Amino acid sequence: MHTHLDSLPHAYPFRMLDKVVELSEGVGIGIKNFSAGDFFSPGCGGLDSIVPDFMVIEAMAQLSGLILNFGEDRAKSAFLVQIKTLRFLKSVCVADTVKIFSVMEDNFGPLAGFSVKAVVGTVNVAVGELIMARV
Amino acid sequence: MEKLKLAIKEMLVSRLKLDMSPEDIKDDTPLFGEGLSLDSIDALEVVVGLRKEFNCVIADRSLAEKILVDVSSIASYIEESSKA
Repeated sequence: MHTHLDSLPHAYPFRMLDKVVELSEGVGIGIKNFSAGDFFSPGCGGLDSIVPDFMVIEAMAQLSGLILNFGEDRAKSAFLVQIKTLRFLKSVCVADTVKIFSVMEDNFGPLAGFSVKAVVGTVNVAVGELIMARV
Repeated sequence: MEKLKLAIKEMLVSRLKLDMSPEDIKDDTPLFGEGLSLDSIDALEVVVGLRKEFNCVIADRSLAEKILVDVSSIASYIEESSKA
């Protein structure tokens, strides 16, 4: 059975989504469970250590890429080309479950703009805007 | 029309973080290639700026290629769109 995650070209240790909760026209919600088993965890130093911010950005980009390819007969490559704005409001810790939200706000030619948000529990940990390109 | 052109120039400088003042941009300075040398990411930003600041929608790439030539062509399109 094909799942949305099967459309991601990424594999361990660089697949930053564990589950896609919702994927529809222009909208997606994904989950990433950071854990001590992640490849970078030994370097972070324990379960209360901080996940590097770029991991969260990558999760946002991978989800946005899935949205970009939604409905396509043939999955095209999607690349992150610009981080327009991104604010990290709270650190993400190893052992956090992060819910990623992405909404396509603009779609023009090969480029699309997304509003993205990462949430742990009920707390926003990161908000911003990304530009993705389809190739 | 002159006020509109200045507003467009201000939008370009602000959204694209151009290192120049709006008055430095001539009405016929090309946006792409020689001129402002904008790229495709800038083009998306201009399309978004026109929608948000001028309520002007550019629906597709082929239309964008005709409109996003210089400030004059953008201003003409905004005026025509507002009359329609």
